[in-house]
Amino acid sequence: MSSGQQSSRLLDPKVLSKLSGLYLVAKTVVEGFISGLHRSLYRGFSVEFAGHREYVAGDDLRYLDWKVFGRTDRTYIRVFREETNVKTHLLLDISRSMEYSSGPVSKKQYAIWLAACLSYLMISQKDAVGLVVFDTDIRRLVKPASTTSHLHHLLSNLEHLPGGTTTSLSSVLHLIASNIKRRSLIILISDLLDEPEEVIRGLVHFRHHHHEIIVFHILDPAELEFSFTGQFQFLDMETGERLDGDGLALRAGYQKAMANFLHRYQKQCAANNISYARAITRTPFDYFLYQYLSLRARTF
Amino acid sequence: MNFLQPVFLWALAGAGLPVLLHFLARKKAKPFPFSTLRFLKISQLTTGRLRKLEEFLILLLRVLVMMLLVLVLAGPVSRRAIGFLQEQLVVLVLDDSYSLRAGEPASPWQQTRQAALTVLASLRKPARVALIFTSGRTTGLTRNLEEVGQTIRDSQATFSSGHLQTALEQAQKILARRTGSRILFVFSDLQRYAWKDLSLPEAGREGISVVVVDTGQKETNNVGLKGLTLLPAQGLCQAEVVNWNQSPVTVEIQLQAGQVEKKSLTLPARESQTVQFKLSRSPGTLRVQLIRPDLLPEDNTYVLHLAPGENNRFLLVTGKQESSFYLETALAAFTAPAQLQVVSVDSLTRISLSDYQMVFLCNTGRWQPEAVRSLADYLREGGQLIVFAGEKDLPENFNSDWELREEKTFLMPARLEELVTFSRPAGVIWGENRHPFFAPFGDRLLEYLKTVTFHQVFRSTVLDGNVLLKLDRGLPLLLEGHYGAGSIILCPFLPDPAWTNLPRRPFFPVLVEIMMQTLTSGASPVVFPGQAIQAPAGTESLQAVSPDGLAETVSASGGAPIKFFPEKPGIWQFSFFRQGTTRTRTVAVNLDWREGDLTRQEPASLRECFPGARVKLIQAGNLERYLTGEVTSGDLSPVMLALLLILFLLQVAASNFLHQKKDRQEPLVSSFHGGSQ
Repeated sequence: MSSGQQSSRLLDPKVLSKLSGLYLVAKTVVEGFISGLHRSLYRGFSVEFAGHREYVAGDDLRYLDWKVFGRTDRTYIRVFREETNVKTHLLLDISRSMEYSSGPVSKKQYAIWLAACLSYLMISQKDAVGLVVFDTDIRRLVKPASTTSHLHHLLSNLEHLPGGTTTSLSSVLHLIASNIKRRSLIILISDLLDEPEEVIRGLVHFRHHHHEIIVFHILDPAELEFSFTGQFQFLDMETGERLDGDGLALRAGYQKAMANFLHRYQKQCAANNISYARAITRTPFDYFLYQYLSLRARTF
Repeated sequence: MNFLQPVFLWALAGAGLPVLLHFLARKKAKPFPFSTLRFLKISQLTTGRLRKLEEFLILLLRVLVMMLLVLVLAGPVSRRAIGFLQEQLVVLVLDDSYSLRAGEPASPWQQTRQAALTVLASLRKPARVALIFTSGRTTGLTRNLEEVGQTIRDSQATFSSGHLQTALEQAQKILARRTGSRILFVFSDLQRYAWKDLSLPEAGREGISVVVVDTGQKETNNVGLKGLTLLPAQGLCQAEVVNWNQSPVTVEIQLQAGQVEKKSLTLPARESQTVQFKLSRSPGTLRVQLIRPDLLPEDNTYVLHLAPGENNRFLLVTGKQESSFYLETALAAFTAPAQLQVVSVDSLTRISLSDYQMVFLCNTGRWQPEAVRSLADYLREGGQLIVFAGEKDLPENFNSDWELREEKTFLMPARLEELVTFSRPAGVIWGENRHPFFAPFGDRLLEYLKTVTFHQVFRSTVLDGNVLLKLDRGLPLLLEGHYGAGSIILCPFLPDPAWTNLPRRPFFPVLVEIMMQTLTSGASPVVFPGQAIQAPAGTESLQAVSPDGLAETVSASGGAPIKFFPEKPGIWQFSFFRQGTTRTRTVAVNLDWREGDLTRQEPASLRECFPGARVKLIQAGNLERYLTGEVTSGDLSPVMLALLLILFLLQVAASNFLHQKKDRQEPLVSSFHGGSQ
């Protein structure tokens, strides 16, 4: 097995569930991700010049040092030292619906791992990372920092999250948006089980403060497929409401409603220049790390 | 629709099994935590309804499949077929009239019996059957099919005409009292005489199936004797022969009365002719016979029995001496003084009427019920009565006195209305010149009566009699009726110059003599086969000796008068025993001549006899095939089975469709897996 294949396997949530400790999970994921990542993407985003390195196929030609090429007839890429002025706020939804799981990993667990991995990656890139944990209100707030000890602090917070209640996503988003003044990267990790228009309005609030937003929409495969057959008494995990019905009978309508729900988010996010990524709890994490890095490279 | 095994219908409760399972399955649902119900609620509002409808349809299909399965097991048959399979109520009407004997031994009766047994064999145990013969015999409603079968096997066609109308009315009454599937089988040779005037009441015929089984034959070769009339005034007897064939026939006819006299005549198609023979006055049997082989030999013979008539006695009962003067004078001219007795009404109760061959009533006035009853008994035994109504016979008294209340019968052939007095004397305008009274005058009857006029007569309403003479304006002048074996002649006038000049005309004593000779000719009373011979009141026992010499004794029981129904044609001897005394009577039993007409009723007109009922006409030869066909066509099991199969397949297809629909539903996760902005 190659190292690349091995690292890819380690990014699988099923494998990660066997690891103990968030730090270990985050380190395993990020290091594995980085080792397999194309070199050009994993670089600093600072404007301070750090030196040259030899061009390899696939490098961005924007960073090719044409002067050196003119003088030496050899291709070199300019490498810059990273800056730590990008602040990232991880907004983590811990409402009770996030605890739903049709497999070994719940949406909440997946969201925590994702937050941990992103934190690890960002801090390893010297970016400052903060954390806001919320359900109907803000339950925990960690201000952004970029030190290694801060990473441990973040991970410790993520490991010991309180139990959530119902969701009131839009109001919380408005609340957070009004408290973050400086231009930042906002990463929302949630199942977004609220009215899409309201949620989008909250996100747009961030856009008004010139924040960049990435939305990781956490979903369980069962929430998409709804492959239940037989008679069930469905129990709403947040409200406790009950509904009797046959899985098979409800499936088509459910899938249609869900597709509409997702489509509305996708469409609204695109309309408001918000990055939107659907995160199904069996999706390997490299996809999201790449998503982050891609946006980071494009924006900052 | 009915069922051969209705016990299986209890299993219909099992049709609710799918519904029960459906609800039980619903109850088993346990709480299932899910992230949100918002999409489920939307689903329930949209596809949930459709799905529920689909589920309901599948449930319905399953219930129908279960129901059909039970119905198939229960052996469904149509209402029409049930009559042959499990009919609750079947009435078999068998025409056993004389015409069924035509062409014996291969007669329609054999066919009738066989057809009835075939129908009986097609019935199953729970069926109730009533058997009615047109001759009047019945078995009543029974579940004992073997007994009914035995009755049919033991039965024979009679010599009587039978009463199809009565038999069908009786059958209709039995069927009308019940509900459900009812069927009436009528086995008949479709003789027009029996069917032509059939008129059944419509009540209670709804829901009754009528199957007429034609057991008759097409051949109608038959001639017969209509009757034999004595013309004592002319010393002749007259036989009337009828040809029922569609072509002329020549027959030889002979009279046996001591010596044999033969004649030959040619009869046009479907017409009758009379043949006269010299009448022998010697007592004994008078037998007329047609010498010609045909389908019904018994109606080729007609018999009469002549009793000695020298000692005939006559009784004149008068209410007013003057009124009966002319009648008494006329009677005295032809009788010895010892033969005629004149009495008043009051002394009548002291007289034994049976001692007299003929009784005259003249202007008698009121009658007590006891006297009327004794006169009725006298008539029943063959007495002859001539009544002259006069001024003492007020119509209202006459009409009430002669009413036999116990029998609800009016003894006289007509009721009297008001007295009609003519301003100008009225003459006779019409006479029945073929009647034995007037036969000697032939076509010249009215000429003889031309000078006879009437000043007044009672207007009368004819009830059950024949008008022999009519006056101007059609007023009946002479009426003939019958009661029992006796005859009644009613004259609504008095033989008195105040009423008519008849007693002063020479015609009057001649007519009286002819009437006396005719009515007391000594000929025995004639009855049809099956007609009742009633013993005189107080008879303790009756002995009947048939023409074959077989004796049968019937004793009185319960005070009711003894009745005997002679069947075989010929001369019957009856002996009535009462308090140590014995009276004898000879009766000639002759066939109803109309039974010899084998012309058949048009099958199409049969339906008109049973308006409102489902009528099916079946040839006896096709009966078995018909019954089998009815069962086969009426068995709904194959239809039900096919329907069951279709519904089952439909149910399976619908279930599979829903499952495939589920499988076809594209998992959203694959399309969303990599979706990103």
